[in-house]
Amino acid sequence: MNSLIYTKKSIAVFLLPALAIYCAIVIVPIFITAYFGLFEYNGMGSMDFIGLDNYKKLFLDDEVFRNGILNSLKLAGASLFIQLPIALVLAMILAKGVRFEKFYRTIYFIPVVISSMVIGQLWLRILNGDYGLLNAILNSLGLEKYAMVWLGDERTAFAGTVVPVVWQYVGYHMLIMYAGIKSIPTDIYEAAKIDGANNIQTAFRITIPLLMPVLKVCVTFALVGSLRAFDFVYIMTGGGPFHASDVPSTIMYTNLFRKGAYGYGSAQAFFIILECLLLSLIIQSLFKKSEDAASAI
Amino acid sequence: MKQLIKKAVCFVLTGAMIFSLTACAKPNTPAAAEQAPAAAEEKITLNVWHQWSNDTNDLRKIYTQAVEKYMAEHSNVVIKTDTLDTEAYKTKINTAFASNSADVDVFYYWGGGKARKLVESGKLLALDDYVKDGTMDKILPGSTTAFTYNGKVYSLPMFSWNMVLYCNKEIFETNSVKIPETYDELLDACKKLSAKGVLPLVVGAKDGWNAAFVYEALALREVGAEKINGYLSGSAKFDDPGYAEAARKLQELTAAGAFGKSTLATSHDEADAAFLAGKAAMRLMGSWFAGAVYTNKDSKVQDKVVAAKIPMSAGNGSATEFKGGFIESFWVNGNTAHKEESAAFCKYINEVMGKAAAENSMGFAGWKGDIDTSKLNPLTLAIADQVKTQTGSVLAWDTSLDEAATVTHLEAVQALFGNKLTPEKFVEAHQ
Repeated sequence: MNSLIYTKKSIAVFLLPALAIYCAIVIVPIFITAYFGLFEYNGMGSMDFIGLDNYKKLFLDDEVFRNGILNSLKLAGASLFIQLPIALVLAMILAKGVRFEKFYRTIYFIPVVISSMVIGQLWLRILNGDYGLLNAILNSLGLEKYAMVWLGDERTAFAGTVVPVVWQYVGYHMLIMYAGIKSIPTDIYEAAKIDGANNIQTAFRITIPLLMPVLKVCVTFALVGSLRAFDFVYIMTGGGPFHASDVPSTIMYTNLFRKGAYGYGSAQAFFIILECLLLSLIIQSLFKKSEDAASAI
Repeated sequence: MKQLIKKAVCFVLTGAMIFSLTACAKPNTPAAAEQAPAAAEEKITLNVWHQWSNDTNDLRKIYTQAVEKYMAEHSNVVIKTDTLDTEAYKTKINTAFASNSADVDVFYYWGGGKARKLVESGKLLALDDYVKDGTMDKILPGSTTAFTYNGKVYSLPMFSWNMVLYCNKEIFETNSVKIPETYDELLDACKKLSAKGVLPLVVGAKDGWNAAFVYEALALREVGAEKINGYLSGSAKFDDPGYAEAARKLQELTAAGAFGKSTLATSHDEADAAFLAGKAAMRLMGSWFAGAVYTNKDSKVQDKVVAAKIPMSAGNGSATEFKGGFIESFWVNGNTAHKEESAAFCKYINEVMGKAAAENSMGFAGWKGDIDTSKLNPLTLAIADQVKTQTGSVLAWDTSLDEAATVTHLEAVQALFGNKLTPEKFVEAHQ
């Protein structure tokens, strides 16, 4: 008994430094951010306490931020319903063992390795209104009337930034799923085959249910990644034209670093953190049941 | 015994962790500043920051030479320089001055609305006591406007810029269009060039400041420098009818196809490149762009560019008013341990860099005295010639207004470009 308590103590002591560092660089800054959100503060000079006014403004008056949240939800939707299904299909095909499996795996993963700055520039060239590849293709097909300044038009600017995001991370999710599928024991498939299951049936009855823990990770990454998306929007449109492609983090950036509104920017930052945490919790609980089922096997 | 060793190891490890954590907690010990005075000959280290981080930058070369010369002349002073790229540099200054800012003595910054925040929080050293030695007689009158707050001078001018309408005369000639001197001629030229499939005036409106150049140029002619400067300094309202008229003219130009259809998706870099590649007839830019016309390796317009003034209109502006002025310079941290030495270096570096920049076609010096014009390119000489007649000038608004007002202004101008705002709503946004 004594030795058990002793071990617990030493475990606690050894965990303490890690916990302390974690608190110091993750937990404490979150609360400091929330605290700064209560002030009107320009980064230097006096901090005026204004209570919850920043948060009130955030939820009630800020049309731009609301549109930003809407955009981030659209992006989350695109990740969830376009990116992940593509990744899953690719992963299943690759894991089944096609020719040049390694080659394709590398090809699909290449965009993940390239810096988003480079990919952003690449897509800027593709979507350019004057010499862009997309417009050139449309023109050569005789579809001139559909050619437009994709990133300069309010209707298409945000979609223009969503496409590269979806495209870049397909390979990333594919690789996680591919690894997950590879770790499913092959005897289950053999049993299914003996029972006469076809490919579609094995996919829906064996692969996907057993892949649930991995899918949960992918869904969490995709959704949280969408909510805090920043790089492509910043590089490709800067949030414009007229905030049409702004997402919460670019708006926060503008407030913090261009308008010098540190208090209000902090309130927005805190909201983004909360939003991400809340969503991860929801995903956790949604997947709980199917995950339990998967681990039971 | 074993347990004892375990305990000892555990104790040492946690101790080490706690120590390293507390050591991290106070990073701002002013190490460099306090070492010096102990030395026998009292060497003083001045920490200087600027934003020319690229080795190929000409201003950086000039700066480095100037500092070497200064250290040779002042054996008791050691200059330690630190640089960062523009955006990162701004953030560095903000964070440094949000805390006690003990790491820097002299630093590069922008006057007008940018430095106002620093001045109002008492972060900068006023130089009035240090420039009584005749320094003020050496600088051009009116060149300290952007460095003066509440009657006190906080910095001295380095070099100025001026806005110019760069015109590719070859395009004008082949399309038999006249280089515009008035707004009506500009509108006419844009209509004609646009009809022939030539991009008339390339603007990188994706970058707010570049879009704002066009509006501010029009406003200068409609409203006049005095009233605009009043508005920018907060002493006059944004109520002159000329402001709305300038907005209307901007939209008239947009409708005439003056900026092409993709201007809102074009960055200022891309716009520069388009003009240098000979794809656009005009570019409204600062005098610093003159160098690129000759030295940029992709420039196809070396001998084809002429510098025109901002076209005139029937408004209140006068032809001798220009857009531009002195805005960049070196400042002294109010919290420095070496006020005297920092102020002396600040005076020195602003003067030397101002003159050197002027001799290398990068601007116009704010200091009296002979400037060697032999190395200047023809465009810069032409611009210098125009500026001689100057009676008044307005800085870029985004450097004069405070940060929040700047963002509002830039976004409103971009909205004008996209026909999202009527001139009336545009004026309202500024009030």
